[in-house]
Amino acid sequence: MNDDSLLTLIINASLPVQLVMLLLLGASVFSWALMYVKRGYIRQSQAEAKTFEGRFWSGINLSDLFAQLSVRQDRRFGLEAIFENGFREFARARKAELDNSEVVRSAHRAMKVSMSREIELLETNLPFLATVGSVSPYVGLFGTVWGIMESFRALSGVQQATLAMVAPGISEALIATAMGLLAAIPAVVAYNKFTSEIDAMIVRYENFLEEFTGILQRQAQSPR
Amino acid sequence: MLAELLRHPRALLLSLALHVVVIGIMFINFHFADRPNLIKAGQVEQTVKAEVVEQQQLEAMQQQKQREAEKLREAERKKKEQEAKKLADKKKKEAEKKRKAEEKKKAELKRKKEAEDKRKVEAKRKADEKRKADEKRKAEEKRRTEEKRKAEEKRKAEEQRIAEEKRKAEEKRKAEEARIAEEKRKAEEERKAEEARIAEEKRKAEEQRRLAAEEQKRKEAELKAKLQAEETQRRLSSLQEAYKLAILQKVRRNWIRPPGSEKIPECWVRVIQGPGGIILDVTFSTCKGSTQTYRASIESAVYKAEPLPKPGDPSLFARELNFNFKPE
Repeated sequence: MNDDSLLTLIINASLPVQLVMLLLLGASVFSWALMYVKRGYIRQSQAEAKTFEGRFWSGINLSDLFAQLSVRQDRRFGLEAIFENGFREFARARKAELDNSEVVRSAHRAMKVSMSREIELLETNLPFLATVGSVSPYVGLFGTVWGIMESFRALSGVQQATLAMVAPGISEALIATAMGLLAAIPAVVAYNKFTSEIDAMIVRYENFLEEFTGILQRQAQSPR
Repeated sequence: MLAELLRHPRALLLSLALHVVVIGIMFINFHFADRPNLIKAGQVEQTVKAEVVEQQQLEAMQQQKQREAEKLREAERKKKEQEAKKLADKKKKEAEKKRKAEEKKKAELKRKKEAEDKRKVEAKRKADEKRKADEKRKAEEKRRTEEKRKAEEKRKAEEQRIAEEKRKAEEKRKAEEARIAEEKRKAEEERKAEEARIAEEKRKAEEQRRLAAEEQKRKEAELKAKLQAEETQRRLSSLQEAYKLAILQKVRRNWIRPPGSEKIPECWVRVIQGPGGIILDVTFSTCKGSTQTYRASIESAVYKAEPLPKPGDPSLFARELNFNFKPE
């Protein structure tokens, strides 16, 4: 223990402790990458919802808006997808000469389905962050307990035990807990932030869905 | 999860880089942190003390042993000395006898030696004379070579002096030349600096002129933009007026005066409209002194006016409309 750098501590650790450290490092790397991806997706969804709402409430004719959307080739997501599916279903049902209330109901159903798909897309992989946040402290703790066990067992054969003999082993073992906490804290923070943001997005989608259903209901009543 | 991450390799790389940086910083910090070595120092002191105590005891014991040994040795020495004295006396007498015989022999030898010495002195004297003559000759030779050497040295010194003088003159000339070149260079530099300064001033003036022109242009453009904005604003506001009026008129046309309403109150109506002028909601913000039927008549008038007229400019479309409804 002359060279007390962190690297030597890690290299001198026993194999199970090293495995635990590796596992935690991997979890941390993946959770950070996931945070980056997720944050990008949520930001994109928010921006899309904002622009689409702006366009929708700008007084544009609904069939014009639908035509503009269906011309575009890229995949639609968020409010655009909900609107497109709802309006397509509405037009189809009206063409089929269905009852007015039936027309609105089928459009509503289609929009609900597309909304739940959007929500699912927003929420994918969030459980991984939650798992990292809740489990990695325990994994780190396991590594520490194991390391301390080892260092005490090494002490059993010695006549005069000093603190200097156990200290490096315990210090070695504690690194595992530190790493577990280091992996868990950002994951928990990010998980909470993302869930609240996604909840806000869901409320936004639901509001739009209800309002749009109202508009469709009024349009259904007008003569064909 | 992995599939999504593999679709975004950039995210994975960024995350990895972040970890590498953080771990690197930690390593550096740990390396620089000084750790107190209190425990080790304490141990060393204890052992040293114990050793010192043992050493003192050991030394005392050794000293006592030494003293005893010395006493024993002293007694031994005295006895030996007495014996030695007796032996010495005996030896002295014998030696005296021997010495007398020896002296006789020596006198004989001396005589012989004296004769020999005389002969040797004679031989030495002759050799001396020869050596002296030799030395004289050698001294003469040495003196001559010395004189020659001195003359040579003088000549050489003279030559060196001349060379030195020449070199000095050369150096002086060179220094002079260098000085002149330096002066020339300085003058050149000054001239160049002056030129650069003038050019800089010119450039600055040019720049200033250019900036001023740009400023002027910018101001003009601003003014133009402002005028244009005002123009569009005016147009839009007039369009807005027309839009509001069109809505109000359409509502009024559809209004049927309810029976028994002599006193006509003023009502502020708030209408939420959807795309295409669809009515979504009608509420009354203030409608003092009105009856239920009166309000219902206004509401039905608004619904009958659906779809509401479109504004002249799409940007004027408002989701929420507030207007004061009063019959003519």
